[in-house]
Amino acid sequence: MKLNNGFRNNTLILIWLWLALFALLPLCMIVLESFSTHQTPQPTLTEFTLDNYRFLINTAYFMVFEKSLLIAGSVTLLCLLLGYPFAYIVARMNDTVKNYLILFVIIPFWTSSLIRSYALIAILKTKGILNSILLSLGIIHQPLAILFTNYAVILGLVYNLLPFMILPVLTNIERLDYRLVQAARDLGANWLITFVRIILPLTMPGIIAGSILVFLPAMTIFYIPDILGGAKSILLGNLIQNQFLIAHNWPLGSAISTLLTLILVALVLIYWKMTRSNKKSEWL
Amino acid sequence: MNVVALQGVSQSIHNHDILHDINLEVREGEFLTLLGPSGCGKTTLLQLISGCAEPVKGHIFIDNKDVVGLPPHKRHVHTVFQSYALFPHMTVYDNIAFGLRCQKKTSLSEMDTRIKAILKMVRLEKYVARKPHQLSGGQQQRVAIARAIVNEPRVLLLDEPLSSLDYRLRKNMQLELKRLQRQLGITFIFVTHDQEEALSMSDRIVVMADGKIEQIGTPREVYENPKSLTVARFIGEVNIFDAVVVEMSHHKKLIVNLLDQIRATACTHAHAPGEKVHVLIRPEDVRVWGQSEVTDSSHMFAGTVEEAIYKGTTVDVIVRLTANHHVITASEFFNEDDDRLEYKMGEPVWVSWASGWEVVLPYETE
Repeated sequence: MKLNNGFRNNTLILIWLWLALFALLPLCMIVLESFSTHQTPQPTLTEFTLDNYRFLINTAYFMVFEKSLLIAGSVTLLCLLLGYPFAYIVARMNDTVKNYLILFVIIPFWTSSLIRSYALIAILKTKGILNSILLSLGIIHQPLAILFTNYAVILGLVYNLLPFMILPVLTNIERLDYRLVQAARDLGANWLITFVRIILPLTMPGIIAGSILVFLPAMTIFYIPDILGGAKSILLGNLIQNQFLIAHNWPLGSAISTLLTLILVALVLIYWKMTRSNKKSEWL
Repeated sequence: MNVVALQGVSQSIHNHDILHDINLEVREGEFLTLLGPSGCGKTTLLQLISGCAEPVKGHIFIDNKDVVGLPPHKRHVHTVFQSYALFPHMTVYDNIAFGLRCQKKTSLSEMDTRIKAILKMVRLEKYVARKPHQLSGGQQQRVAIARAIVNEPRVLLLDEPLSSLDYRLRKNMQLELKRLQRQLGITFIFVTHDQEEALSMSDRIVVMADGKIEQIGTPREVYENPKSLTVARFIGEVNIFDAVVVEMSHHKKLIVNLLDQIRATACTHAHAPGEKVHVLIRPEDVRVWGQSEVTDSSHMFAGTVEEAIYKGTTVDVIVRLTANHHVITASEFFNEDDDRLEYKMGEPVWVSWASGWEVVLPYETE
């Protein structure tokens, strides 16, 4: 018992130290940095300023926030619409088929997502595979200009992040007691009511987990907008990357980072509040 | 008037026969029990009526309407599931209101009155705002029943609803179910593998085995006049003897040779002389006599006590018969004037029963 306790404490301390050193400390440094001036690359409180934030709110940079939220939101929604039915069907399969289908979802992870995003260029570009097929089938008469648009970015993000939606939702649906569905049907509920009133609320934790896992990277991944969106599509991820690596404006980059973190925290809090107040689930 | 009727219903899953040519008529307002060992197809039969499964052959009528192919939500029957299947994210009130809200036939105020009435009936008024996980097993059970009966179904199907409750609670719920059934006048089809439960609750019992109906009858009929060895063995304890028919007498008496004794037995079937038969006698009909108590042993069987099991209200005496070395069980009740209930192992005794109390069945080769 004593040994177990010691093992438990050491494990926890190790992880806490790790997180404190490599996650909490950098985060604090970024927050500090965001209040300093451009001239002092080292975090210091001697020259405290809100200029970086003022700059963000008053300029076109703020538009990037809006656009990023919009794109990340659409990506999450698309992943949900594509992933949920798939997860539902897979969860109801027998184990052998199910394992193969889950394997197919995971296989793309075996290749770097960067490489796969380059592969998307080959498919989406003007003389790419997609356009060739559509043209030869006579569906379109002029090649579609998808590459280097927001659509390409959304497509790339959905493609890369879909498994992060499918897996938590699948686990949740697998745990759903199917007898509850039978009971609802037995009590006179048609499929729509059964889905909205029973299946959806009971798989909400999976949906939320999946949405968070998709939404957060969708806001911050910088190479996919870079590769598929071209220079035209600047999202938060690219913006931060630019400030740190190209413009060497660390305070501004830090301010954007901090704001992003705040938005994400706010979203999680809103979700938390929602589930708390949703306890009374009456409907008429 | 039949509420439910099944005609030639067969069901098989993966080429494995589960139900074979089931014919059954359920009367309006009765408490019908499907009784059988696990795997006999009783739950499948329930699913066929509720619409959770479709038969491969046969017709199912509810109110004289063939419902085969009709989805569960279009059949006016409801199920109380073995696992209760309460919706974990809804309160007791919402669980009960679910069916009414789905049908959208009742007005808000009427809905509320009906739910309140049902809550009172199942004694759950205090728990309306609770979630299922905050209730005890018996309370969850009552929510499950309330949720089904609030919709006033033509038939309520109950799939072993009491099997997960402890003994005392099960006894209480048996009474409560019976009370509810009488009060509501709804037809109950109740599935159980517990013969005691079946006997004490049902108007009629359907005894099933291996996907077939063995016997349909009142509790008394199936207990006192089982139609087959399977039924006799499944309902209550029974001693079974092989015997040979000597002759059929005029007064509906069958004379048989049982362990080299010629005995007259009551009989419902006609049997030819020389035919082998089974003679069945219930343990509670068997009496055990000590050596000193017997003066005339002409209609008794000699044996030695193998075991005496004290059961509170009865003592079960297991006696090995000298004639065929088989054991016979006798359940003796405590009587004030009978203090001879203390038996020693290996004690020689006499065993007897009143002529005419046995059941004679055609010989079954096993």
